[in-house]
Amino acid sequence: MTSSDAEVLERFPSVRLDHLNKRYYQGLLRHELLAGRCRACGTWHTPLRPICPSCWSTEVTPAPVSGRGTVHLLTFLHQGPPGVDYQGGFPLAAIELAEQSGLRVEATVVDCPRDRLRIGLEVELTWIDRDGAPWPAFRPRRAQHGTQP
Amino acid sequence: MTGRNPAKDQVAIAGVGLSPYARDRGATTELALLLEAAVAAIRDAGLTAADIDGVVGGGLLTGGIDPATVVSALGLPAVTWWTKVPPPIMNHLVAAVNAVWTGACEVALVYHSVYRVGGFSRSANADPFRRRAALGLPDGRAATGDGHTDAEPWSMHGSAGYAAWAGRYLAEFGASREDFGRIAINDRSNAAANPNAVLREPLTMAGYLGGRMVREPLCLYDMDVPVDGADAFVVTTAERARDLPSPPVLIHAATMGMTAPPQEHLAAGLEATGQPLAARDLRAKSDLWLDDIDLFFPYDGFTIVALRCFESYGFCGPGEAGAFLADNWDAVENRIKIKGRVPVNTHGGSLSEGGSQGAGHLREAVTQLRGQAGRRQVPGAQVALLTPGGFFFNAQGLVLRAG
Repeated sequence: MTSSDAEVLERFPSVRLDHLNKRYYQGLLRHELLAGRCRACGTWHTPLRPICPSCWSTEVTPAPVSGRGTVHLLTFLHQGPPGVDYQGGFPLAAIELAEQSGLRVEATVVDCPRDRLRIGLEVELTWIDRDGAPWPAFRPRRAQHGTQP
Repeated sequence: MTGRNPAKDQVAIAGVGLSPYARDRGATTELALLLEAAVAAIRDAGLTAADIDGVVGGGLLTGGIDPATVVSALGLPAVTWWTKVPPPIMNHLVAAVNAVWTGACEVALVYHSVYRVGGFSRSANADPFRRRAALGLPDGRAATGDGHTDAEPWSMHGSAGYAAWAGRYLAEFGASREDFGRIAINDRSNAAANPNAVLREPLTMAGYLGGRMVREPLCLYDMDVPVDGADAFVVTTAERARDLPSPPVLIHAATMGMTAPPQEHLAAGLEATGQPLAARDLRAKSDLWLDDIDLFFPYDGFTIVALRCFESYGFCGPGEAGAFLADNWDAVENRIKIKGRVPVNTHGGSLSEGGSQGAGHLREAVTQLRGQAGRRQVPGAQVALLTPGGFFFNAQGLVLRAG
């Protein structure tokens, strides 16, 4: 069920919401990670755009992604704005989603020991709380647990 | 991309002015810094307010000062062209060159200012007026008009993106942090001879490696140092510049490069960013290239940017910059000398002179090509290659020659 404009504005008070990106944040509220999908050429894109960056069709719509991906870029932040724990380095990754080469989202990685967290790690979507609202994060893909203790 | 370059050597830098860099200029304003540099540049060119008919500028931290404010504060009586631009400095310079070349103006004042507002450092936070100056500034990607507004620690917009690609560079090529360290040490060694540099104490590799980690794998010494200060330049036709008192420096070739998608986390790869595009386009526009230069100014807002410049511009192959720097290291002077001859970032760069989005690199290149660099002077320097800007939204390239 999609939340109202009033609700998404209330739940994300510090995000510069607009008439397009609100759909992404409405997705977060129902634990769906959305990316743009072109109905004309089938290509995915992030962030949501009013036209398809590949074919310029206006037939684009937000669609949920599977949540499977790999760590493509990774840094550990040792300082920054308040709100997260920088002790030992707060992981910030670019996750390449399984749907398409180059389709990526920025997210932190949770439930992963530091020595396992590296570029190439297979991950899956999970949810954390950020300022009282659901926020996407990634954790090591469960299928790997048996092979990489 | 085009190799066309009809303005080649037709437009010149005829004046430079500086408002000195410092970690904290104290109880002053961004406009005061900017005007100090602007007045110095116009006087250096032997001109007056009535000669300036073009104005272009802008800075990073505050969004910069609008040309209308500069026209007002300098009392410029007749301006026929102006625009406000974001840094790095080639946004300013390319606009000015194009405006002069097309006749939109005859003499352009180019300005760039950096002013630490609340949030950028402890000393800036301690000044209530600098905290006030930060009010209402857009954060993160909001500054680019993009819908998604997140900044660190949730987004790679800006510094975190460079750290992330630095990490991928290390992983992909088996490079080491020592490779980044050579960029930082080179800058510091050069800064010792630059009174405008805010960090002049020698830096050792052990000191570099022990630097406080900020955005892993980038430490304190991998990132430019925040300063207050301003630079200004006077740009006019080469013909006019030759009649002015200061030695002209000709804009031989200038370019900018951006590729889709430019966002840090979406970039297809370091080989596909704006930096190699700018390199290719500059190569197509320039008659002068790597064997012809006397000075090299790779942009070093982050060490990874400068390191990768050696690869993007063809000094060496992908992943080979660390070995290239080791091979071209002058152990006595503790700095890079390409083929034993060409020094790199002779003023100390963003990492040691101070972060000014390439404005400092441009000032130093002009000063060197005029033969006015004092202790830092490269004897007989005639040609300089500059690569202002980073990988993603702002890669740029410039070849300057002494006029």
